[in-house]
Amino acid sequence: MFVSGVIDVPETFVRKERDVQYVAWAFVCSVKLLWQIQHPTASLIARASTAQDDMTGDGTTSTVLVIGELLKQADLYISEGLHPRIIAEGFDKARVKTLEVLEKLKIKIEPTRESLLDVARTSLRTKIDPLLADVLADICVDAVLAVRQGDKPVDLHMVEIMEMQHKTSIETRLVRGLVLDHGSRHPDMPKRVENAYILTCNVSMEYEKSEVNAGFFYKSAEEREKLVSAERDFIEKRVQKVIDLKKKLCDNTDKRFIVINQKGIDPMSLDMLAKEGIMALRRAKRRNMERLALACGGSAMNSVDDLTEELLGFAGLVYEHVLGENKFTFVEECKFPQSVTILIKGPNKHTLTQTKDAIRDGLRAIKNAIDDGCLIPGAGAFEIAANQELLRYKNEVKGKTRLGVQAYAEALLVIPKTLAVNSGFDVQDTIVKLQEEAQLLNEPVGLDVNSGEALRPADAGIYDNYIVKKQIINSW
Amino acid sequence: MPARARRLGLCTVQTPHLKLTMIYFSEKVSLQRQGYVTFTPRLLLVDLKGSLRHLRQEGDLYSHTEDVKPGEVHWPVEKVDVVCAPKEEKSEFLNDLENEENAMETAEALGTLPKVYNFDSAVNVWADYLRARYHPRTVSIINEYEHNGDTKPFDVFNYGADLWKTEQFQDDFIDRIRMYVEECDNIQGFHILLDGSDGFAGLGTSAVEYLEDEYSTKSKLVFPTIPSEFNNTTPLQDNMRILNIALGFHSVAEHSCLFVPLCLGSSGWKQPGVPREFPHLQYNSSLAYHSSAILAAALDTATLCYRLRTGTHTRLSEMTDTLSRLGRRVAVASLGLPFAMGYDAYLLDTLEKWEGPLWQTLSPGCNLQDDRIWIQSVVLRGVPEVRLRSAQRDGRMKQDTNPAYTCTSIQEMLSLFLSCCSYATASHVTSAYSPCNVTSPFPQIFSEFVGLDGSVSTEKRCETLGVYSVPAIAGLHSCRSAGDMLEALHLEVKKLQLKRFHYFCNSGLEEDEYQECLDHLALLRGCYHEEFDV
Repeated sequence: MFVSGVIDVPETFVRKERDVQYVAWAFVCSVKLLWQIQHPTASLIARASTAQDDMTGDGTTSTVLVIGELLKQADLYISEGLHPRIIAEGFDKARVKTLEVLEKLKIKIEPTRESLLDVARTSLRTKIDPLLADVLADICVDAVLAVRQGDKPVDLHMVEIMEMQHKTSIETRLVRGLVLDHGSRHPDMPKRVENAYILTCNVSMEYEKSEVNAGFFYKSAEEREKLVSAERDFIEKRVQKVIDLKKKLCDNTDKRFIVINQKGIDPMSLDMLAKEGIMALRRAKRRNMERLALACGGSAMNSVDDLTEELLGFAGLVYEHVLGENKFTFVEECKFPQSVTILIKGPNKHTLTQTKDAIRDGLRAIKNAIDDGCLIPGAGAFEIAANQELLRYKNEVKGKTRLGVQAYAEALLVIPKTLAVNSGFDVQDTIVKLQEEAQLLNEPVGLDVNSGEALRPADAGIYDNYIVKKQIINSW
Repeated sequence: MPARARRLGLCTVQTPHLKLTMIYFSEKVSLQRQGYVTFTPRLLLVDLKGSLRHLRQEGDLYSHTEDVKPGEVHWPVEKVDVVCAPKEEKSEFLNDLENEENAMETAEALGTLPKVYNFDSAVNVWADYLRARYHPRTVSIINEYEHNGDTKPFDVFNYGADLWKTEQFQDDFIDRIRMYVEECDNIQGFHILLDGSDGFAGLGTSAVEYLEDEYSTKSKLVFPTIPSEFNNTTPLQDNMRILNIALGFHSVAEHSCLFVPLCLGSSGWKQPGVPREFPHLQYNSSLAYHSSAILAAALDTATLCYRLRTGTHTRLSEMTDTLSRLGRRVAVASLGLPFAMGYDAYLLDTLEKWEGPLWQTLSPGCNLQDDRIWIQSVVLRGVPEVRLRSAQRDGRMKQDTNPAYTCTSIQEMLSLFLSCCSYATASHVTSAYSPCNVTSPFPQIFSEFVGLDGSVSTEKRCETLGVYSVPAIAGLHSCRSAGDMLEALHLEVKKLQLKRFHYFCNSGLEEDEYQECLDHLALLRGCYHEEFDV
């Protein structure tokens, strides 16, 4: 609880409404950049926000906003002489009550495409412009649904995120397969291949230092040459094994062959492979090896002995895309991809980073929704409902503690207030309108940021994550 | 070839500023962009925030920055507030470099003598005298700590080690390594140059550990550097540095093939001690710009044996494996700059008349003079074959039985000389034709008796002219005193009580780990006892 430190809070934190937003934003940025924050209270807030990010991946700004508002409300009472401990007590009571409201409001969902789209869109629209948010929401939902396997928790690592500085961010797309950030290194290798077997391996195909008798004192130059050529032979045999397999499987069919190696392939080996029309990529990313196996089937090999067809993956289309100095290799049209890639495009580094952050948050929101199996009405509806419930509850609390509950109830309103300010409406007007509506309809109502009127979040498809809200409440 | 194509990339390394660099073995990568073929070093470097000055992180090779004019803002002027950051002042050298480049794009360069600049006062960071252009991938900046910052110095081993675990390094940085490796046809290994006395020791050794893990068959040659002078330090800071060095050595010895501590101070550890003296150099050891230039010359020369395209193809792994025989992972570096020969003297005469050591030791706490050297790799550069020995003398002295007259190459003669001077030392000698280039931005630290081409004479050089190239000799040695160096370090570290260094304890250094580090140092030292030698 921060109340004991409340006197130390800098002026900007408690006085100016507009500044709170700014400070909150600055905090979120600074938390992301891991700046060291000197002020003790401020660093506590920053830590709460970081924890929020770690736990849920979303809701960092809300955390900072609400904490700032709590401090502001508490400061009013403290300046009137109320002891911080009493306020803290009130806060504790209010928090328990708010969690009850949260439980009451949650809406059970099935993880269908539509319901997930709603939560993804809500999360993304707070971060980027609506047009792009809708595109990304689709992509994120499809990505998560693709990597989801039965009832097992979703592993977001199976969604690879690639950046390409190219075109605009609207062109961001989902590749049902993999995008590698390198290409083949031989001019004669095919650049576009259809119906291809894919051998993923971790086998060195380059001349390496010999394990025995290394050193620069040789009896003669011939002796040294002999050693080198013996080493070379060894590597050639390895490459030959791959070529033999290719011949067995692909000759006289329309199938092709691709080698993706985590280790190196030197020019001589590349040459051997190129002569057979095999496309070969070297030095693949370590974590891509696992993903490749999931995306195209087969498994990553640590040796080229005893290769069989079952160990190979298969992709419908593999092609290279050259972008300036960088090459990208697309592995697409896989049969049952359990690992997919989101290819982010954007005209500059800044846009790419922004889109990437948004996608991360979107993916987390979808994962949270699937894990929770329920959602909370968004657009400030939950806060309004909790505020009303707390104001009713206040009357049941005896003594000065109820002031704490009152402060807490007021502080919750900062979320709809911020929404109102950001959409250009009068704060008091909006809040009063919403409260009236909520009382009248006796169900959660949120703010329509386009008209300034109240709306039913379920109708507009505005949902928040249950776990995010819960974490926010628990972090105060 | 267009002007942009090739700027002479002198290997300039500045210890306290250029913190952690990884130089890839292979020299240049050629890229095609806008019809130009450009050459950039395969280098990754990490430095703290605020150390780049005028240099942009992504470099200016591929994207020219347009100056933003305050008047050209696309929003209504009354609604925006334009704040201009002051432009970083560029030194005369950098401006000239830019002008020269612009001039070369229109006309051919004029054959003028290299201009001499006064860098000593103008250089603050390494970017101030950077001549080579970097690939956009090269520079990484740590935003968590500030260059020369007072509030949160980057001086604890574990700060660096923790930094390695962040997303910036785990994701971005190792990807950069992989990209470079991917474009190499047959990579031999990595050079890792790191500041051994502060947080960069932790970051660098984590990087070495990663390389060992990911590219286990490639050689890793590590050079931990230690500044040659620390101004106004407290005993606490001294001890923290020793701890950093010890922890760094412990980790590097485990994961690298060979490592060579570099420092211009002679005694080492708590304080670097008296700076090494070079007979023909007058350098200021308190200027990192000077000391780093000497270390850079040593690095550039000593690594030539496997970087040369001609001659015997020694591989990096062959050198590291030979020098690190019997678990002796620490080697000692040496440098003779310039390799003092008269203007028209011959190598044979020079060696015959040589007094004192051929080189000065560049590793702290050891001395190669009167030392037992087991194995060494020596490189002599800048002495052409024609200056092997005098043809006249050759005829006159035919009856002489001196075996030196049967030598037909520089290499042979130097090996012979070395075998005469030392007892039971296996020497691998390489000679290279090209001398060490010391035009600007290399500091003018040569004494006035060194001529323009690096020859030593009794006449003074014209004051306004700078030396432009010098012959040099450098070597890496596996010798007994490396053991003494480790023993001295071990003794110093053993005296410290870890509990008193709360920065280390708080950042996650366990007592056990510390003890393990001590034991490992002792073990490493044990490898240098000769009774186990076969």
